[in-house]
Amino acid sequence: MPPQTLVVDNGSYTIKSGFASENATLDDCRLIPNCLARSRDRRVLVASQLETCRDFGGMMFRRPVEKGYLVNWEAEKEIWDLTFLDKESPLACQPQSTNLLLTEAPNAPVSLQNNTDQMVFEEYEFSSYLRCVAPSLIPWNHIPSLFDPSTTPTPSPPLPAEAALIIDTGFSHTHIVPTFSGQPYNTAIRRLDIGGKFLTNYLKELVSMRTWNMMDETHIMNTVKETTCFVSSNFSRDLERCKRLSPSDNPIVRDYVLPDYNTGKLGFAREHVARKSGPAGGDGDDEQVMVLSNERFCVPELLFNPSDIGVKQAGLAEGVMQSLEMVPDQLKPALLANIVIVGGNANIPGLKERFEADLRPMAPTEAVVRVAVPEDPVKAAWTGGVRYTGSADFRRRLVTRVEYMEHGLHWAQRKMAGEDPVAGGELKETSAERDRRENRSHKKRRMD
Amino acid sequence: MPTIEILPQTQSTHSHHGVNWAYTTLPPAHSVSGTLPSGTSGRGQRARANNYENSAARQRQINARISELEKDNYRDVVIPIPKSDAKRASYRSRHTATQNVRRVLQSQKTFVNHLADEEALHPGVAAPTSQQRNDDTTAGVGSDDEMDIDTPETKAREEEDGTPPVIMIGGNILDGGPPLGYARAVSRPSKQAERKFCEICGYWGNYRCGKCGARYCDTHCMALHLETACNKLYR
Repeated sequence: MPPQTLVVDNGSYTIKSGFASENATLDDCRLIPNCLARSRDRRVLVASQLETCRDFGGMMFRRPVEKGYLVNWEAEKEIWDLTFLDKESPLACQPQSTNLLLTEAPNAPVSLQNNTDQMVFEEYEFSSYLRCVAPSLIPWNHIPSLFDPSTTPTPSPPLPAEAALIIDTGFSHTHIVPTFSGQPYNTAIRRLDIGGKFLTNYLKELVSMRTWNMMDETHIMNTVKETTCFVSSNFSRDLERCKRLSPSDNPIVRDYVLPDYNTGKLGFAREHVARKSGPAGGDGDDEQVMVLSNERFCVPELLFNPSDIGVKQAGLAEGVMQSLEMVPDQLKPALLANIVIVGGNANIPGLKERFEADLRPMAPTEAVVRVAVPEDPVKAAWTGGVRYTGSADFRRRLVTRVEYMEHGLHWAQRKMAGEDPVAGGELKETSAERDRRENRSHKKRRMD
Repeated sequence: MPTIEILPQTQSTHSHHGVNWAYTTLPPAHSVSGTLPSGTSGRGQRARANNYENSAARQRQINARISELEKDNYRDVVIPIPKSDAKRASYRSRHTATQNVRRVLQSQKTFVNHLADEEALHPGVAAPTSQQRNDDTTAGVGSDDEMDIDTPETKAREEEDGTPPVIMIGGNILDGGPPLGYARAVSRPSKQAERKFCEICGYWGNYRCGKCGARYCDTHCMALHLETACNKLYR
């Protein structure tokens, strides 16, 4: 096994990627925009080229990951080529002498998994490769220290948390994944089709209807969402405030000064400043100000009440209870006491507190409910993945390119899923297979 | 084409007995509307008006809005792969692509296509219901032992070669079964009542526009709504 291992958390908004090492820190993980973007002047920017861009006005995006699943390899290849094969990229590597740990979203269609495996082995020719579900990497982080900072991480070899309920709320959707010993409990995985993109678009729609037309300004609205939105701890009180109080008395109201790309000024949020009347604002400066009040908390509220705009799904807290219905009773308390929220939306202020407050009354009274957000919820799957690469379980499941060429795609996928392929490429008999074979022989006997 | 419409159930004594449906020649989108012979009582009218929230037209409106919110760009754009410059071409033509790679790269399938394929290939993989699942997994365990994960019976068994511990329940290894698949993993609708918001300012939407069904909170927002956003023409 080559010494170098590349850990790639291939998200729909960013690729979280870096090389695994014994003492890797968060800084070793790079965020690469997982998109092709076209600017106003019709230049196409690929992945990290986006960082060089100064004018995000009217920017259009093409994302290879659709609804959280890697669909369009034509675009993804362009991004991967630039990120992993370009000599000047900080993540440049020789795939032939590198192991790859790649993540996917839970419940991915098999055809997409096949495409990914074939591209990794046949186009990139990685030396060995393991594909796994992203939330299943979180328990490899040291979960107890999230709840009690005084505990210290276990020395190597790393072991996963015995039970952890992962809420992965990302760009395209939110997954609730109970895990035991780092293995997702598949029948209990629940999805909520609200993610960061949905929230951004909702904010964009609200603002466009009420103040400025921002329908083409997805990138700006994403920044506005990240800087101003919060989850309300008392929704009806805050809604009432926004209705009754004048903007100058209302602590919720914020101004967002829109960026001016002609002069290169960046956008920023500030406390509300009452403006003099008049078409130009009267101040002499020409800054364009977007006033936000109840939009600030109505938008992230969708994560808790998707029915507010007609999405017929349960919110976060209710979704967790639905997921727990499928788990054996004895294990529910362990999951409730070890809830970890990861993904970009976990950065929204107030989300953890509100989630705890919503879940507490639904959970059994005697159960302990503990919720934690890792230091960097976006990179949590990556850091977990790095620790995972040092484990025996990783080495057991890893499929080498030679094995893939010799035994084929399905053998490789079963090895990655943790089944034991014995020497000679014969798969250990699963019970279903044995049944099928026995039925066949039985039938033969009867025909005789 | 005539459509069948379920008339709203009213409590009034003089309402129709027996049949509570009638033929109508209106297209489905318009079948539940104020154009029916109006009831004599205010109550019946109100019931019909409330039905608007559950009508197919309203549902279509909501679905269109949701799919709008899931888009990457407001307008449909095609962003082609940029032409490769000389430096980048070097690693692209490193070797000839295999048949599989060519197929994957040329595929123009969207996620919806893949999902449809998946459904067509594995139609009968029914998800276990929560009832079944609980029966399966709790079968070997006495009903009275309420325990946490550290009691001996669920004690994690650590294997010698350092692979992660396996959690045992009543002598069986805990196993969540195969993945449910995309369509079955979605969470069920919430039990809580839907909340209504003013479509103009975002406050509680306690009133409803009689013409188009939009919600608003007060006369100020009503005036704004009638002036700008009322789409009565399209109903």
